[in-house]
Amino acid sequence: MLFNSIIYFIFLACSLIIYYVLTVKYRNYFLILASAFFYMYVKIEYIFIIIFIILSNYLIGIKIERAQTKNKRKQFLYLSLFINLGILIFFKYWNFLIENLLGLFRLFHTNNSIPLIEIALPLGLSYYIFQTIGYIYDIYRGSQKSEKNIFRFSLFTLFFPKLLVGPIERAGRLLPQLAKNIYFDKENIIEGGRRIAWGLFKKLVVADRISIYQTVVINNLHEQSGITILFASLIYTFQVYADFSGYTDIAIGTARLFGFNLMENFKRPFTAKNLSDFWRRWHISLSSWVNDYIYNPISYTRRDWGNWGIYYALLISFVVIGIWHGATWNFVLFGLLQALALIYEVATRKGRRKISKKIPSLIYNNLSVLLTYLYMSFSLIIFRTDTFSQAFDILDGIFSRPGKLFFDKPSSLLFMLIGCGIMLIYDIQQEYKIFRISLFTNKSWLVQQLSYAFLLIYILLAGVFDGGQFIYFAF
Amino acid sequence: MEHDEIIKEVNKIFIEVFEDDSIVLHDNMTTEDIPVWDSLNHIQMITTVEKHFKIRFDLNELLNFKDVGDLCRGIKGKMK
Repeated sequence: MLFNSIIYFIFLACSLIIYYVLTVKYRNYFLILASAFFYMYVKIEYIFIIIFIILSNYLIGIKIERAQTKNKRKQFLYLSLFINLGILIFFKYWNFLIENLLGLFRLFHTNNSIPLIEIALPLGLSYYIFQTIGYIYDIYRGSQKSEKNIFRFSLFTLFFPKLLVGPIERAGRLLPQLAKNIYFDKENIIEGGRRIAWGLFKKLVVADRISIYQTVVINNLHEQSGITILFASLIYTFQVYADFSGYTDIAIGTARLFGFNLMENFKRPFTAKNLSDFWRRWHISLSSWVNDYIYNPISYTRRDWGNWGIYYALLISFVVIGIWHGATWNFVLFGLLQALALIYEVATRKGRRKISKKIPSLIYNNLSVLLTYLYMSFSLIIFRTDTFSQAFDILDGIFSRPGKLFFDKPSSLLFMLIGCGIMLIYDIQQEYKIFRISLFTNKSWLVQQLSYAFLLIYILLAGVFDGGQFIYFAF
Repeated sequence: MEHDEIIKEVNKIFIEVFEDDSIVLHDNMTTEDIPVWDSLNHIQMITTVEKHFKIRFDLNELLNFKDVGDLCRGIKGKMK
């Protein structure tokens, strides 16, 4: 069930009415049922995987907490990792591993046949597996109590607004909210509705408009001029941001309607002045997860290596981030590109600080923002393609084919640019508070309402309503 | 060594590692309060603290430090 489909909004309206009509103590039970229905709407069978993950990790969490010795706790941690990563590897990475293994065998002229599996990746698997591993590891290290209420733990995993594409929640944030009684609050409905409106704007007006342009350019790559391919590559970064942060806005807004606060996933990434700043603002629930559960443990245990320990931890962490997106060498290279840039930033930190003092801050900061954006746009060429040769085709096209910028209709380009402009101005205003007058957070109730009315009208005028898939559904 | 003395010493280390003379630490401070304090230079700060106080934290202690107060209490615990 896509967040930008009519069926989703019918489901949401019905769920919301039933939720608030029910007495408080039955509301969470209803949310479990609604979430299970939401998950089974696409494919019924995959509910059994999630039930298995819930039950096994519920029991292992309690066992770790009750274990008398460190060794016993470690055994249960490994059992949980075996179950969670085993399921993830089987569904997501099996074919990739086998294909590469067979390739290796061929290299040594040995013929082996290991069967590939033709099975679709269960939706949301990478997201809820990471959330569950985080929960178990927190119990193991003693910073989280195990959840004894099986229904609460089920809802922690199943809660439908964040089930398919995150945010990857933390037990310490979400479980306490699930333990509270939620009462109807008009503010939750208003704020939740507004957040959903922003999400729809980003998805339907910005991401899906850019997507139409991308499809035309990428499907006819060899006929396009260099400037067209460059323009498509530069705005792809905005497309991914609008698509994913739009989804997150709808997820956070939906959760808010039910009285819950999910964690933020984006913090104005296009104002980042370097790549480490960018990764603190982009897909925060994943990058902070990798920071807490991979980067920190590795860098702490390797702290005697000096900067080399940091480089090593960065390499491992970003290869994990890359391959988390999917089983291709392009995602591995995407992760490596991020790690290399961050290693460069660590190694040159002092030198760059000295340079920054010699250049006017306005120039230095804006140049840093621009360079960060350009590097990210370059990395996303690798990210968006399946093979190195496809990525090379795009790069080759940019530098080798002169010609004019392609656009089919001036109005399409205009709608796309206005959409990007509104999204960016909103972010810049949130970050720097440049303008004295703000529209969407104005003190006047009327100005706020008019601003949101304009947003809705603009969505109806310029939105793309053919139910385009969200990019991050594939991960 | 008392808690206040420890926080003063840690403050000097923060100023040196993060190259920011304006840092004035208190117990509830986190990475949110000091923009230059991130996970990349956090490890440099930890190793400097360990050398200065001649202590060694284990992994679990490091993972559970939430703010400056936790760090200083951790140092005090190790020095006993």
